[in-house]
Parts: sequence; structure tokens; C-alpha cells
Amino acid sequence: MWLLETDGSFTRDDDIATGLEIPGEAPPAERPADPVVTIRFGGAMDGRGFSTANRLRAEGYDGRLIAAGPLMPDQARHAFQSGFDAVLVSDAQVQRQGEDAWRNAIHRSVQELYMPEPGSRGPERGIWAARHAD
Amino acid sequence: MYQYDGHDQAFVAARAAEFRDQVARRLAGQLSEDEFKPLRLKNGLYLQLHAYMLRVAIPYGVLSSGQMRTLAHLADNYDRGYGHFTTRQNIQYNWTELKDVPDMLDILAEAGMHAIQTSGNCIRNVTTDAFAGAAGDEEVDPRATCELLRQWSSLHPEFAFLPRKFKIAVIGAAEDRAAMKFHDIGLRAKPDVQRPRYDIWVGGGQGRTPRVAQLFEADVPFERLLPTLDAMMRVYNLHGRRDNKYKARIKILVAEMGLDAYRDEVYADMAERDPAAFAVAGKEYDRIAAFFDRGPVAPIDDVPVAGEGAFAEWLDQNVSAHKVPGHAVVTISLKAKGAIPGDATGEEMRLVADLADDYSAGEIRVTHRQNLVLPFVPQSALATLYGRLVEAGLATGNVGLTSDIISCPGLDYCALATARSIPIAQALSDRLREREAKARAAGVTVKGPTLNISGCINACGHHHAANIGILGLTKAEEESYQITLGGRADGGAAVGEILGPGFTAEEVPDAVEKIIEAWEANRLEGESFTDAYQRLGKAVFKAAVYEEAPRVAA
Ligand code: SF4
Repeated sequence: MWLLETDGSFTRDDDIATGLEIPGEAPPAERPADPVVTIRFGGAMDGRGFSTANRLRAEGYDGRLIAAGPLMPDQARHAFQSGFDAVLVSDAQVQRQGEDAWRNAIHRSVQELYMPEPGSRGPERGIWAARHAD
Repeated sequence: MYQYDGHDQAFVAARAAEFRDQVARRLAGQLSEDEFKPLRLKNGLYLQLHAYMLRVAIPYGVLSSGQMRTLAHLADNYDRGYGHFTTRQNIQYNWTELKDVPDMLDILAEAGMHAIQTSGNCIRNVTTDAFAGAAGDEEVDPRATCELLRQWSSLHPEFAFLPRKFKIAVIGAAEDRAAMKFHDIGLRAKPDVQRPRYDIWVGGGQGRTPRVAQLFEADVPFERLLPTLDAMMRVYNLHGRRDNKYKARIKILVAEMGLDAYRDEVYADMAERDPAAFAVAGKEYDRIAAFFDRGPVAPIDDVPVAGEGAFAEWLDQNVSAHKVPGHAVVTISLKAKGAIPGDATGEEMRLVADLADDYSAGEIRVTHRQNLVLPFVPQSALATLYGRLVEAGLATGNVGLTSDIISCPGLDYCALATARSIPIAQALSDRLREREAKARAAGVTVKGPTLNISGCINACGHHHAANIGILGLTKAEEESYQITLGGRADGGAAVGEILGPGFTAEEVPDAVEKIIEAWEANRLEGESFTDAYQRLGKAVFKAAVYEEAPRVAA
């Protein structure tokens, strides 16, 4: 398995701690106590995992959140900006989509947004905040 | 109008660069077509029947003359010399090549434009009243809210892979000129002490299951607008159906869950969140609103303008009252006799840009009825302006008449179409313009029913919301056109009712003419088509079309 971190590092490791695994379909009824939670996306077009992560952050979960499932490199920024700390990528995905595409996923996508979401782990600082800094 | 600053400019340039990389990876085979599809759709690029189609955003329908020249340049250099203005106030280029699209996006970015979220399962281009900032009955200029929403929703990380597309419209006047209640979320802005407050409507839409939106909450103060929309989107993202794309819009979620249960979920989500995260939106709203408050024209003396013949018709139909004395709002009809609704050539776009510079403070609007508007014309310039439109063949005086037809591209371009719509629109236009000319010559006011055509059940041509709607279907491998009556897109929004069995393409003009004749024969003095339809019921029209029955007394 491979892991993409918010700082852009992308490394392969056979032994990745994925903690409690939950489906992306719905936020859990109780806030998990586990230090690591992995949210599994049902499909690349199924954006519920982003809202599930955002909801967990809003509820105050401050452990490590990992996104897993058939995501594309282009969705890495969506994951980080919705509150994930890392994206778990299978060997098969890396094989097909290219290691390079994952390694550069963050640099090649749009870095700045108008308004970061609360809980974001992404690189954006917010255009509105910059405009009204004083 | 709103002007991009360095941040906006960098944002659209970064998006264009990102897309260039995605296209390169697709062309290199690193992205499969299945993977590339959602990425290209989020940037308005469709694979149609004959070529890639690029849909460019015209946010809330506002264009500068310079931007219109950029659109003309794209039409001439990357398409076959024309573009198609859509019911969502965007423009489509039907004949683009994938390898050229990154260059087109760079050219657009230079002009402060983009194709962000003009398609895909995300928040689409926000639409509004084409007369915003100019209409006599306006209470709040909706454009500042639209621009705020454009910025908030652009490349939104969480709401980019929704169950289905999501459309928002904003209005700020008593009259609804944006079909607000046919949107996933509709906002009616009202004046308040400092910033507007809003009535929020939810669950409207067209397509296979047309619905008129319901009131979610009235009089929401500005400070709660974005927090509420944020929670509304999240509940939809988490709970909207993903098992069936025809049941995936928010209208179905609200119908299945019930409005009250949906509302409870939204408020529960909001309760966990600190609205202070959105506090900066207030200052941003003020910054944006300042662009629109500085209206481009000052009051001058009113000049009465009158004319004869075609000029008089044009004055009656295409010229509307302005909120600034001495000015008028001019609609340029893209519905000449026999024309393709919404199509304009590069040459026509450049001419309109010149007219905007000469007579309308350099500003142009695109309407959801697929026409163009010059929003700030001094009354004293109307006659000269009309002369120049006549020369260009753009002086058709039929705005608001039945020949002002809405039509989607249909089977001539669209991969989803079940029938042609353009040739039907053209045949109807020929027939209706003749009727209108006769009526005008006889001194009769002809403000008739609205007529909209869609080439499939997706209803991009808004047929459900038309007084007379036409839907092209395929029945036993033949095109069959279903007619609906009584739909309305205005404040009294309603979905049309199916009249009866479908018609062949050739039969449509006769059927429509019989419907209009039945209305004319049976209406009370001054009665609109929809009022008459409600009073008389379907039977009268059915008889007129299918039986040639004698007319009933009014
Ligand atoms: S209504 Fe159907 S045919 Fe017409 S543009 Fe939309 S999808 Fe295509």
C-alpha cells in the first residue's frame, strides 16, 4: 500500500496503521475514540466520504483520518480540504494511474480556494481571508 | 459589473493549468476515459454526437464587451464560427477538439472567464434575473449574492461529487424572471438593514420528475445564508440517492424524506458548527456589492420614444422600463424568423460588443430565454441602436411573443437526445412570425403563450415550465412530440400537463397553431394563456387539436 500525506510525500509501506475502518456512506453515530480512523469510499464518484470526514472534524474528532478506496489523484486535494490527513492508495491504483500522478497530485491541482472549510488539512489559506486580513 | 482582482485571475489561471495537465494525462493514456469523464465534465467538456462540446460559464449571465469579443474569437477560431447561448445563461461551442481546449481555457482566463462547474455532479453556474441592476421592480440587486455564491462554490472540496448536478438561482425583484422555483435551491433576496435577507426555496427542478420548489425558510439573515446552504448541501450529499440517477436530485430527497425531516437534518448539522467560520463572507459581500452599487449610468431626462411599423413593434416588445430615469433595457432577440434559438455567429457577437460599448456602458446580459440584453441604453439612443440592429439582422421585435422560442440543441448535437428540437423550433418560428405579423397589422396585441422545446426528458429546453411545452421522444423508432400545456416559469410557477397523444415533426406547427387559436377564441378580454387554461381546462384544447370540435362559448 501507498500513503499520500498532506505535505506531498508519497511512500510505499507494507505495514500501514489504518486504525478503525468505517464506510464513507454515513458518519458514525458516536464520535470514534480511536487515534486513527480510515474512511473507505465506495467509488470515485461517491463524494459521501468527504462529508463524513468533514462531519467528524466538526464534531471535534482530532485524530488521524485516512481516505481509502478507488480515488483518483485529482481527488487528493478534496480529501485533504475536507479534513483527511492522508490518502491510502493500493499498489494496483499506483500501477494504473502512475506514481508520478500521485506524487504530484497536490502541486498540479488548484492550491488556493476562496474559503477553506473548517477542519481542512489542505494547503489553502483562503482568498477571502487574504482580502480582508486587517 | 464585477471586476476580477489578482486573486480571481490567479484562481482561474490555476484551474486552466490543472485542466491542461488532466488533458495531457488523458492523451498520454494515464487516465482512462472513465476516469477522465468526471474530470472533464467538471470543466464543462462533453463528448457529444460529433465532437467535444465546451460549455463556458457566463456567471449570472453578465458579460463585458471585451468578454463578448473573446467569445467571438473562440467561435471563429475553435468552432465553426458560432456559439449557442443556453437556458442557463452559458454559451456552448459544439465543434471543439480536445487538444485545443486547454488553449481555449487560457484565452478565457485572460478575459476573466472559465468553464468551472458548467457540468458534472457539482454546484453549477448560479443564474439570475437578466434584468438585474436595471429592472424597475428590483428590491435587491441579486448579482452580489450570485458572485458570492460563485466564489464559495467554485472548486468546493466537499461538494464536488454530489449524487447529481445542483442548480441555484437568485432573484431580488417581485417578478421572477429566472424561473427561481425550478431550481434545486432558489433564493429570493429582500432588503434588510445592512445586507439582504433571503427566502430559501428547495427541491424545484425539471427533467423527468418536474417539481416546483418548496419554502425551506423565510427571512434568513445574511449571516446565516452560507451556513445554511453549507448544511443543506451536506445533508443532500450524504442522503441523496445514488442508486438511480433519475432519483438523485434533491427534489426527490425532499419528497421522499419530507420537507420537515430534511429541515431537521439540516438544522442538526448546523447545530454542531460555529457560524463564525463564515463571518468573513460579510465583508466579502460588501466588497462585491460595491461593484454593483456604482451603477454605470446616472439619471438623465426622460425622452419619449415612439415609432411606426417594425420599429414600433420592437419598441413594444424588446424595450423595457429601467430603474434609472432616461434609460431603457433593450433585449436583442436571437429568434429571427426561422433562426436557431440562442445561436449567434462570431460576427454577431462582435457587433453586440460594439453596441454595448456605444450604448450600454460596455455591458451585456444573457437571458434564460436565450436572448441578449443591453442593460443601460439611454432612451435618446434607441432609434440609432435600432438602425444598427436592422443592418445586422438582429432587430426582430418578438421578445415575449410566442415566436421567442426556447430550444435545446436536441438530436442535431446532443448525445442524450431522443428527437430533434432545432428543426421543430425553426418550423414553428416561421409559422408563428407570420401569425404575429398579421395580428400586429390588424392592431391586435399578441403577447401570447410561451413556447419551449426539449429534445429529451432531461428538459434543458424547460418544456415543463412553458405555457406550451414540446418534448421530443422516440416512439417505435420514430420521433414523437408530446405537448404539455399550462406550465409557468414565473412567480406562479407550475408544471405543464400532457395534452394527449404525440405528434410527428410535421404535425407540430398545426397543433400549436390550433392551441393558440383555441385560446384566442375562448379567452376573456385580456386573459393570459395560463389563466384561460386554468379556467377552461384541458378539454377545450384537446378538442381543438384532436377533434376540430366547434368552439365553446367563453
Ligand atoms: S433536453 Fe435532452 S436533448 Fe436537449 S440538450 Fe438536454 S439532454 Fe440534450
